[in-house]
Amino acid sequence: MDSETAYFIREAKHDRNRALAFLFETYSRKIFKAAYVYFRSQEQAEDICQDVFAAASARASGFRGGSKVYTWLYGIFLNKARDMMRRQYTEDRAVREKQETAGITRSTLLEHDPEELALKEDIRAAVNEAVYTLPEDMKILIIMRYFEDFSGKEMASILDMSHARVRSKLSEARAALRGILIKEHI
Amino acid sequence: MDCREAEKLLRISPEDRSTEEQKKLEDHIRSCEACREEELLQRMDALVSSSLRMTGDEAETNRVRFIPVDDPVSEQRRTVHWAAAASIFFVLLSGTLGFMLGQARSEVKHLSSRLEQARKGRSALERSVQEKEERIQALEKQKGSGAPRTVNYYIFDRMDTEQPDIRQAVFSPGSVPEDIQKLLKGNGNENNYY
Repeated sequence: MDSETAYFIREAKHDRNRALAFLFETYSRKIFKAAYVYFRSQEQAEDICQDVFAAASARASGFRGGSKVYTWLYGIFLNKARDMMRRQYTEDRAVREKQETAGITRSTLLEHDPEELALKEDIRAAVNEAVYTLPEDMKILIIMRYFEDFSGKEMASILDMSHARVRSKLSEARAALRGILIKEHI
Repeated sequence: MDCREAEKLLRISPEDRSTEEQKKLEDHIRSCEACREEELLQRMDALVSSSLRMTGDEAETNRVRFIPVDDPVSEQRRTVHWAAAASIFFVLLSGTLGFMLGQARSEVKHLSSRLEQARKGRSALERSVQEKEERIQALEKQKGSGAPRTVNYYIFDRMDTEQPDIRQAVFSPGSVPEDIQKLLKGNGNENNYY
């Protein structure tokens, strides 16, 4: 158990408000960014943040340090995000999922440095659109892997899956993203 | 170079590869479809990672606020718990009150029945007292007026007889009945009567 986790457990036992203040100061921006990437909306990111820290405050005393604090908090975030996503799943979104996304060509990707490509707004928009179009479970895996940089073990712990299943699902998600994002010719 | 070596080199960034390694890799990738696909995926991973991070950085994190309220789900759960506790309390309270009311009712019923019995007993006693008083009055009246009374008496023909002759006669108070006097005279014992 790292010192941060031990500190949080200690504070959660004695003073819930201080534990919450620590949690909010340390992770609120990170969670807000995660929510923004997930929903691509400031308002929804704000709502999710509120819900996540309210839930974390209520559950703080039950945290036993089985994982890192952020991993635990991300699990709460993911549940809230899924709930919100289920609520806002509309026919519009279902129609958009079937539409072709702009994507990028194979040659563009092979001939340029990926980090330089990401600086271009239209390329970034195409990537975001492709990620957003993925089925929900795949989208979660891609964001956890490429935005949060969680290890396979951490992902398995948050998603309550075996490590092998995470690897296999991630491989499927990666193939699906490749199919949506990379066009042979445009 | 085989695919395994190529895959190892693809996992490290191009700047960290030597010129020779880079050349060998490019030659291999040109001829190997699987490695071309792996390189494409590696580049896609890097692009997705950078794009998502830049998108995350676009978020106006200064807007992040937290109003410390209870988690709506926990709040809801707590409300349900309170409602359940209140329901149980009211059920128990009404049960207890119902039981106590039932007890009180049966007690009242029992006391009413005892009161009724007491009333009946009292009127029976009153009647009995009245009857006794009436009888006393009748007896008093009988005594005062000197009315004759019927009594049993015993005639002994001989003093040692064991079979007395039992007869009835009407006595007036303070006098020996006439038929007894006659009887006694007839036996020559007129002064010996009992």
